[in-house]
Amino acid sequence: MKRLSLWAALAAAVLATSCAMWTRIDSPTIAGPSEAYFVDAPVGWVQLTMYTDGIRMTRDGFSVQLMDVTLTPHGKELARTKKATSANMPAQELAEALLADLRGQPGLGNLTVKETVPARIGPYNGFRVQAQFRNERGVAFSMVIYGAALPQGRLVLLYQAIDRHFFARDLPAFEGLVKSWRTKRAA
Amino acid sequence: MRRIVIAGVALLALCAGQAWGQSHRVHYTLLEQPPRALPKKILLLPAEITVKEISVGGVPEKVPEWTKQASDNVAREVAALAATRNDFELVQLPELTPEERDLLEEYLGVYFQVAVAAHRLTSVAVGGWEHKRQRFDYTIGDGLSFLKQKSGADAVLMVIGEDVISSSGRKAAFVLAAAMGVGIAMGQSLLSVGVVSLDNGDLLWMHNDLSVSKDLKDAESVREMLKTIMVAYPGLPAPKPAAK
Amino acid sequence: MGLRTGAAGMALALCAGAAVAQGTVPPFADAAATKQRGSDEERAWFEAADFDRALRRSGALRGDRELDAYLQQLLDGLFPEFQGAVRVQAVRDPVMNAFALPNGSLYVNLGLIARMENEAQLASVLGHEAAHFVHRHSFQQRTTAKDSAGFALVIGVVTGGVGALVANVVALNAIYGYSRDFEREADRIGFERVARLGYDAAAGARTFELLAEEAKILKVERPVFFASHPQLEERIASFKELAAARKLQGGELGAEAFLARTAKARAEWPPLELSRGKAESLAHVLSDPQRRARYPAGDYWLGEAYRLRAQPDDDDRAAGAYARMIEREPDFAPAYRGLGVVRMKQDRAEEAAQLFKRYLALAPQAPDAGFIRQYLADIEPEDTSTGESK
Repeated sequence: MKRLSLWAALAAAVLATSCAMWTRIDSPTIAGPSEAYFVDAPVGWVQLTMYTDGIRMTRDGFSVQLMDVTLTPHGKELARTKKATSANMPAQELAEALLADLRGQPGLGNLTVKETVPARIGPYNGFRVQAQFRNERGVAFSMVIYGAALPQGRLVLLYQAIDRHFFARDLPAFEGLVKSWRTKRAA
Repeated sequence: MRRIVIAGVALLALCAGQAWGQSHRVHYTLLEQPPRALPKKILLLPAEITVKEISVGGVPEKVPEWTKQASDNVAREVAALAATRNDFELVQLPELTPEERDLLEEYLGVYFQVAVAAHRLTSVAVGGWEHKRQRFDYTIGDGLSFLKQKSGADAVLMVIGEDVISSSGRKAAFVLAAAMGVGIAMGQSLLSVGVVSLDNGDLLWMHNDLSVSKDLKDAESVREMLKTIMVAYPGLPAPKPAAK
Repeated sequence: MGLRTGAAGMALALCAGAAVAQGTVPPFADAAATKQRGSDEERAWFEAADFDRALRRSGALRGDRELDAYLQQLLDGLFPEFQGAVRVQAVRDPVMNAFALPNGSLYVNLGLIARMENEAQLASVLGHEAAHFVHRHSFQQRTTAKDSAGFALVIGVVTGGVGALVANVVALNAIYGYSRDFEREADRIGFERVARLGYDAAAGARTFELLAEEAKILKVERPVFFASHPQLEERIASFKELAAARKLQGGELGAEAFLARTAKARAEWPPLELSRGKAESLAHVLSDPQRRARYPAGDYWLGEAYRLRAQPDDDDRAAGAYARMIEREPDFAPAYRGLGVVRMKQDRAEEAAQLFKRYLALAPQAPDAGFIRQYLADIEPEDTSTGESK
């Protein structure tokens, strides 16, 4: 019985990883982990519900476009540069730190920033970055990143999409999501 | 326990997006009433075929002469099969400027990104994506419309293929193929064929064939695989008889 | 943020210490000889061509014709009989690295060019890499690895612009280093070629000293360039022995020509280094006044490096560097911004406000002017100054 359970558990774990639990977004309000924040997501997109670090979704598949929202405690270092962030970090400095960390990812070493400007996320002063990179086939991807240093952590909202056709098409949905970011369920 | 393991492996394979055998997708507008018109002139783009050999040491490497042989086989057999059809005409790629070649190259890359998602997420076993499965709706955008102006074609035919051949003595293992994100084992061949509208970039039709014991270097094998694939085009249900 | 992009990001690492049969494949004699290749070697060239394409399409190449022409000129001087067969280009990557593919494509990172002190050192790198190509080391090592039953596949994640494109043994081989014997052979041949042109005999050893320094800063045991065997100290000693054996001392450094033709690369390197989060490495290089003098606005970039490194007392170090920059060039706007940010973080609001206003007065159209105005609004909430001096 024990061995059966082990196989069943293994199979379930493998299944979960392989099938990547997805849920279609039927109503806009989505809560972040522990309901620390809420956003209004575009209906019809599909959320990767097994992603527990934040909110991640796509309309056509991650190889085409994705939106990602995370609120990470300052004590947790950035994954690649191992830098910490802090609540009193100036917005531009936070942008620099996040971009440096992103560039440590495979394929993003040549991430080129087009523009970095101040922006508001909810009641917080933050930044908006627009950037671009190309993959090994020369396919251009554009990115928009909003970020802010909150007392409880670094808030990052990211949108990435194939530049041709997709980026401009889905950007309004992302900007709407950013505008809707809040710490209480009711908008 | 053995049954659980076998079932588990089969489910794993399905969930990983592998379509053992064949998989087929048709744009929803072709299934509506009245259906969208099928393309009459289809432009054949250079096929992306790769043949790799796995060494004794487990190193995969592309074999240039086999890759060329397989590419030539595919180009020739696609043209021959198209010539037998009376529902569309195959046209050749016209002369392109360097900028147009770069643009085409980029869009081939876009197609690859979109086709991978389209194939994997609309597989039967992937939950949460039923809406896309029931209403297959993928596009690469209208950036290749210049080809319509240059060639008169109203769609393009994209062919991606990969063959993995083991050198003697190597045990079977899975190698993650570049094409389609499908795990290809030794002795397997993948051919993926897609038809994309030049009006708006819609993926009108996509068919993947993951076969055991086919060899893309062998013209007969390629002919058989393509025949099976093209027989499935456009894969529309037969019209219902009018009510009496 | 586990983002997925198009590139697979997988890497194969060769088993360390794979045995190599020396002298089994003769070196190419000249450019014409490189066209005579067996089918096995043809495969290596085929995959190398894929890598060339990927590098170009991904935007990783620096694309500076003048710089590439200078590198090519040096390379052609070292290996004149291979002109046309071996081609070198600069890569927009701050990592101190250079590599050669089996098809004669050589790539040198901006990070390496910017760290070299003179032409002799750059020539020693080019000589070494070209030697790997001429002596067909990549192809030989790959052949050995392929046939080895004990070959171990190790999957790892490679970071950085170039590393992410690596998806096959050919390029990895070149980037992650060769066996000890092949490295020694490339050292020896590169040294001969450099010495033949009258360059300084100590150049090779000095290059490795710089590399060892980089490795120490980054706490990397085996840095990318000349990565695998033998250890860096051994390589430094070996170059010194080569020079001693030839009774060579001194020689041309080519410092002036080098500094002139690589000026743009040196100007681009500090911000590129910071954009990859390498403040520690930049701070180390620029903290030496002699080295700092070779980089435009060196004091400013040192200030930026300290500010972003953010170790204890770095704010004060940064302030000192910015202040030196302001003293040297009173109209250099970014230094005021940098110092203003430091003062703001130190809660010295009044000073910060003055500095920000000076910055905005000098550069009202700066791309980040919006941030500075926001900082001013935060620290002087009742005074929404636009930055004009009172």
